Amino acid sequence: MINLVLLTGLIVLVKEGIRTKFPVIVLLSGELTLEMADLIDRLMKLNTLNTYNYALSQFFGLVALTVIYSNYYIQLSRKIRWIIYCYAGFLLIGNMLYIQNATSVTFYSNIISSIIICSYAASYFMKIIRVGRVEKSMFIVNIVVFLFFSVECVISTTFNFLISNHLSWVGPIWLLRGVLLLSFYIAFINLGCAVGKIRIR
Amino acid sequence: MCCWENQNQVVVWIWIGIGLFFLTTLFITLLVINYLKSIKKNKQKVSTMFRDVKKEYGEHMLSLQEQDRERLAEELHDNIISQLNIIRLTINEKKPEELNVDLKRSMQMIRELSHNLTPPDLNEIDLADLIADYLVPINKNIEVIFHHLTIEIAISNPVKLNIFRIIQELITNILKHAEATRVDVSLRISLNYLMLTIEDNGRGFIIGNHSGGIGLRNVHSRAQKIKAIYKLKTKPEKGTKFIACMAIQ
Repeated sequence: MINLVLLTGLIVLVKEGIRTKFPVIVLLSGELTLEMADLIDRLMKLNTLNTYNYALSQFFGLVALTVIYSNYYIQLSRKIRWIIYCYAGFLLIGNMLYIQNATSVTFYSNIISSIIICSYAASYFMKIIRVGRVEKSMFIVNIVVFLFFSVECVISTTFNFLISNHLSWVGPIWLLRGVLLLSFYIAFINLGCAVGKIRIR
Repeated sequence: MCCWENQNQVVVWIWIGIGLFFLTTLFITLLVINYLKSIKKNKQKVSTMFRDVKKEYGEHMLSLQEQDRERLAEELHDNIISQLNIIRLTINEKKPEELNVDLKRSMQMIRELSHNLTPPDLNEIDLADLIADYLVPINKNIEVIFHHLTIEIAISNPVKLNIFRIIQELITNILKHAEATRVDVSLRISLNYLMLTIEDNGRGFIIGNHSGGIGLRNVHSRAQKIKAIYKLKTKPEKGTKFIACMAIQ
């Protein structure tokens, strides 16, 4: 379902033209590729690859959201942006090297990337309060990003537990993450459609 | 797996964590939405106020225009046309010299009217001289005493014009309604303040009965424009005193 939504959203956005909405399209197409890879891995029962996918998704999410936030939302200096890109790169390498087997994976370091993204959203909330006006689609994206990445902090902390257990309570957590992820993609597709109307830095 | 001894408890804590983040997001969202709503409400209030003030200002402008037209018509009808009428009716009886004097008087009236309507050149003249020039012809009909104690300080043209118009308005009122025999005009300009006083020994009036008149409203709006505070002291048969004070920036 997530793949279908992403694909439809991408088609819609590309049909409308890609000049101003380029970062959103890149985020959505990257996420689509990752989701597709995840699906294929699952179909082929390659569980180890899924954990690599999670690390890759976190890296890509941090980089793409930094670009999107600095383009549409808040002023991020070039220096800060490059520090974040470098951090994301190191994190990816670290995560890839650290994974030894499918049962003992941890992504504690991803908490920092989630906190960085949450702080973008928090800065945008502050900006709204300062400026006193908001664009609806941007506001929705900001809420979903804040919610998704704060929940992602918990999931990153307990990743090992969540993938190793099959309790009746663990399933709903993944389901909830899936729902949040779906809302996240839909919100970004909505943002992409509205990009023509909003002011771009 | 060995690390997670009580798995159900861990799951409960994860849910509590997720729930807390949900609540935080909800709280922040509601806070921002409420804040934006209150801003929107305030903006609406301000725009309504602005619209009302603009409407009031427009109405005021129209009433001032009407007042000016009325005054102009009155001036033309009562003085100039009646003067010309007299000339027309007595053209056969009067000598050419007398007619010449009458015509000259009519021309002088028209000149005065035109002079009153045109704003003076404020760049060239200071306020005290402007007032003195205005009061000279009035001094022929009524005793006008003008005191001024001023220092050399730059006063902006809008302030000059508004003070001058206030004086014009009040002197016209005195000439028309006060039946006064003497008018005292005093202007004091210090480093920080400008103070204007106009006092007559006329019949005065009850403030409540005349405070809504167009002339006094005109004085009020001009005083507001230059951020001056003023007081009008009057009692029937006790004359009228107008005091205005403004800070010079």
